[in-house]
Amino acid sequence: MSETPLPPAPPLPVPDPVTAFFWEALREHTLAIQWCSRCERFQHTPAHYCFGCGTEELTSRTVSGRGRVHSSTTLLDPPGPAFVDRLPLTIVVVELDEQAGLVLAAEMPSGPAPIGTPVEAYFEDVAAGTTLPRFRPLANESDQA
Amino acid sequence: MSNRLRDQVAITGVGYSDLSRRPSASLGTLTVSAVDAALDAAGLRRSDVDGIATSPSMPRYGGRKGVEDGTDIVSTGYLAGRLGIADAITWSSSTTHMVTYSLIDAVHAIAAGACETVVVYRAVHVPDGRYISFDSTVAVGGDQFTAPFGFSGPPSWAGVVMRRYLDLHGYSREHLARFAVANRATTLLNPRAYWSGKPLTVEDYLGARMVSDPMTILDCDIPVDGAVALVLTSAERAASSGAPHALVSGYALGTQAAPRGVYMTLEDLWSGTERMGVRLWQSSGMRPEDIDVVQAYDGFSIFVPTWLEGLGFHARGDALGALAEGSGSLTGPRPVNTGGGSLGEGRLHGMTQLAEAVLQLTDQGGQRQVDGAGTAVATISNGLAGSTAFALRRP
Repeated sequence: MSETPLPPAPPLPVPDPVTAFFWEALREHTLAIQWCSRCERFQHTPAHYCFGCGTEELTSRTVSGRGRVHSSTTLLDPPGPAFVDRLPLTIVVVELDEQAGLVLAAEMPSGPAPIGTPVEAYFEDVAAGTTLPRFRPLANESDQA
Repeated sequence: MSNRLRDQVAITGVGYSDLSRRPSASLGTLTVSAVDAALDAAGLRRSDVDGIATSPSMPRYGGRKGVEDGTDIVSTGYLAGRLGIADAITWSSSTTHMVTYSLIDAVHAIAAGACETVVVYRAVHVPDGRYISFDSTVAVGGDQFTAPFGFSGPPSWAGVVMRRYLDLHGYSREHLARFAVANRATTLLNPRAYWSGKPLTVEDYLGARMVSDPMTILDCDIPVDGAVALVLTSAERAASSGAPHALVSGYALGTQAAPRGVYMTLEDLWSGTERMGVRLWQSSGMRPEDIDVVQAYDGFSIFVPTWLEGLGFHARGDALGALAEGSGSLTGPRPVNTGGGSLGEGRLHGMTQLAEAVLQLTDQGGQRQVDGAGTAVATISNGLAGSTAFALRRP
């Protein structure tokens, strides 16, 4: 019996000691961003030291997952074999509400939205033990309560 | 760059191999032909060379990089052996940055007296198949935050810059189209350009295959196999040789860290190129209004306006409109990418810009020569850390 081979799955993130908190939070369907309590600043992606003051004593904080579209692109050319059947694929760069300049990239399955569009994160369990953040437009202001 | 280096070193020979998508000769042989052509242009022989520098890497994203010397890459040792000058080499350098760092290294080596005649070369082999393909099943390190949802290729990284640039300033794809058409018109006058002999219309551009909206295939430079070599020597020796040459007046390194997880944002490119502009004008003693021709890196088309703005030729957001009106054409107020750049000539990782700058300053531009071009700027990469910019002038 032969079946049509399935396309490969997208690559799965391999957490490391610095990034583990981020992936653990996503499994709980929350978004956590690395935090320096000295500088009182977030930074993303996680690093082993603070880009502001250099300390290695960093923690993380749960954030709202809300922000605004800083920019986007829609892929029509597969970036790898796993994405051949997943096009078009919109990627957004979102500036999170918590801090100016704090950006996070993720897929936005609903498609492109103009820069400045309010968006919120949601969570998709893509494999056993792996959850990815996605973004979607905030339906309207009253939904934010 | 300290002012002490200003105008002390000359680029006195430019040589190209054949450029093609599928070459008939090995990369090693192509590189030898480029070096011989550059030496010939400089009136020198292989035996005159005592320094050699390159960035021996193969451009491939997400797949297996080739490492076979002479096929996938060309190392300095390989090339010295092929040229029969291994024992004459007193200085060599290989950089993990782009090859333009090799040019800086060579300027220093000559100024320091480590050697007298240096070949700086870049050999680029494009492997069969897709050279941007994330084919691993796992994403480690920085890739954790991009590859799992397909944000793993340079066109998508530059695509988000392009989208923001267009939207912030009210531009449409028509503006990109008119810039592309103007650049192609210049390209047609460069006989070695990949797109030579292939005119482009606005409609052609608007119908081009979309890769990473709003980026089309025509906003990406065209991959080719080939090699380019530059021959450097001291300004003093170049002057006494009588060979045509251009002086390296100044350079600037990019130091703006890339934003993590996104690779580049429009604001980071502006900040990075602006900081490089400060350094470039300080080191060269020139100002934007002194520059006759600009060779702005165009691995992706959007980098041309961000470079022109960062270096001070236009205010933020104004350059694409000017380019669409022909400001960078050969007959425009300040010609840009006078050989068609990497978009038109081929993807040679910055050598396109450097070589064309020297050709213009030595009246070797043929049909595309800008009369009396006395000063040039060449920029390489996107303006973030790892980028370089050079100011060059006619002696």
